[in-house]
Amino acid sequence: MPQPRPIGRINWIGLWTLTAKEIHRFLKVATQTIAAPVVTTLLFYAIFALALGGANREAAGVPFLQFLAPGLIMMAMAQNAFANTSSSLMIAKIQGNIVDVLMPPLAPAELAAGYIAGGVVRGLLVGTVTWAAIRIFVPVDPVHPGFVLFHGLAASMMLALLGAIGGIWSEKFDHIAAVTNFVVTPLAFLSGTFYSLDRLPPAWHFVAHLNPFFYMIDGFRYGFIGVSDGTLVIGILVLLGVNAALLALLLRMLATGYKLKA
Amino acid sequence: MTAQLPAGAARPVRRFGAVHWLGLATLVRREFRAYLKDWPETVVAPTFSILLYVAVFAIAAGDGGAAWAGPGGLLPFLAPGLVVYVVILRAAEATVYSITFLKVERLVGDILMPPLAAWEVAAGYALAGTASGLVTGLPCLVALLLAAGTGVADPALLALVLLLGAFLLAAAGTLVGLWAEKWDQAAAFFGFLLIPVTFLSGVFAPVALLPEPLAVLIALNPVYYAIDAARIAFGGAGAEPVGRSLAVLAASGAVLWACAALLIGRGWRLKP
Repeated sequence: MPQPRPIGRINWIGLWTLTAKEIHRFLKVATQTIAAPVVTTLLFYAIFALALGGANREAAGVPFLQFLAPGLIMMAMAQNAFANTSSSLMIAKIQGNIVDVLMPPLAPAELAAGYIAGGVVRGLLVGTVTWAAIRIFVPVDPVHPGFVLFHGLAASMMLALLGAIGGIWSEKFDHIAAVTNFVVTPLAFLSGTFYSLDRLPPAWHFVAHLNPFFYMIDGFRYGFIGVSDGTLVIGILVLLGVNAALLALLLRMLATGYKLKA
Repeated sequence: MTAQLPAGAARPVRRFGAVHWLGLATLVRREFRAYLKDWPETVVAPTFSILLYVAVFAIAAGDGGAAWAGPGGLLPFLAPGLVVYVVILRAAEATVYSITFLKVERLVGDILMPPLAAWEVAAGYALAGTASGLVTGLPCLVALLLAAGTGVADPALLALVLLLGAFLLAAAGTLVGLWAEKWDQAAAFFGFLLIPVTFLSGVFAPVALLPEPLAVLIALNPVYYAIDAARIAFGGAGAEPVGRSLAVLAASGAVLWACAALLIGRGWRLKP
């Protein structure tokens, strides 16, 4: 008679297995999940450099290319952290193999942690490779590494959470594509990735400050160039608050089995 | 029809003319319907993305950020390139993803079994892809014209350029679909070839701003000629003679379509 396996407060083996699965999933197609986003980001960088980087052009008091690099790196990280969790859950639901993660003895918090870890690792990996590639052409180095690290982590986690929530909510690929096209990409593009807020008409400053993506890019850029558009403390509080709220929502979804269990 | 035949009677042989019009039309209709069914993703999303690119680029350029754009401003410069980009991207996506889907899902018999000649299959995909590209391009064109506050100087030329450009990329997409055996290979064509090359072919900035060796390479790319001719159709200044641009587009489209027909005929990566 086999004895039940005792599991402590945390199912470390299960958590690690899920995390490893999430990481292997994207590394297996690294050309699509790492190389392609890096190439696309460098392409945007090249185009903006060619088209708008003309002599002595500055944004927020630093050369335009120095200004642009952190925003683009952050955008790539955000989009890929989102893509990882959303596509993983979406495909598992469509193909029906979501039971593979619902059946094992994993608590909602462990499920959430495993998926988020996959998204965060992909985000940070894409960000690091993009930074290393940009670094070849333009010297962009962190002046406040702590800010770079905190905002990189907080942003990847926020987007991984959003992706997981979006992936659970979506019933078809169209749904998640709509979230990507109409929510995530516009928020990322319009958050000051490519321009300093002083370019916007004053009425839009308020609107820009309502976008959580603004704070992650602003603080991340501060870590690289030492200049920010908004108040850094507020940005950190917003990121912590949004992450906590999204995590609570995801845990609730996983605990109730919303759109996951019949 | 089968049920009406008396027992043992041979089924009459159906005859087609030189072109199996019914089969060709059926293939085009099937492909085009699949495209229209996804309209939020295939029609609305591209228009939305283009307006987003334009907004971000215009804000980042600000006053005097893009002096090369001339007195007309940035938007009239961006509009022709972006319309071409949307049309050709959609035309290529239509054929690449449709054929890759058939192969990955092992449904390729659907196009190999019907009595269609290889060139008819190639033509069906190319025509449906062309139509998809043009339909997606229309709302983008209207939105860009409204945003830029300009008109099209030569609508007939623009229509011809977009038609040839869409056909070229629909044919190229057919070849990529035949080549790709997995989704990531299909995606690689867009991420590593089509989008980078198109973006550098004068969509966002004149090719003249590129470093010399790159500019020469770009001039070998047919999409560059489509963007240049579209710019002339919008009333802007082009770098190449229109006649030559149209000839390049038509010739390269015809060659790629012929290659697709040849490879489908041989069953390259379609039949075991």
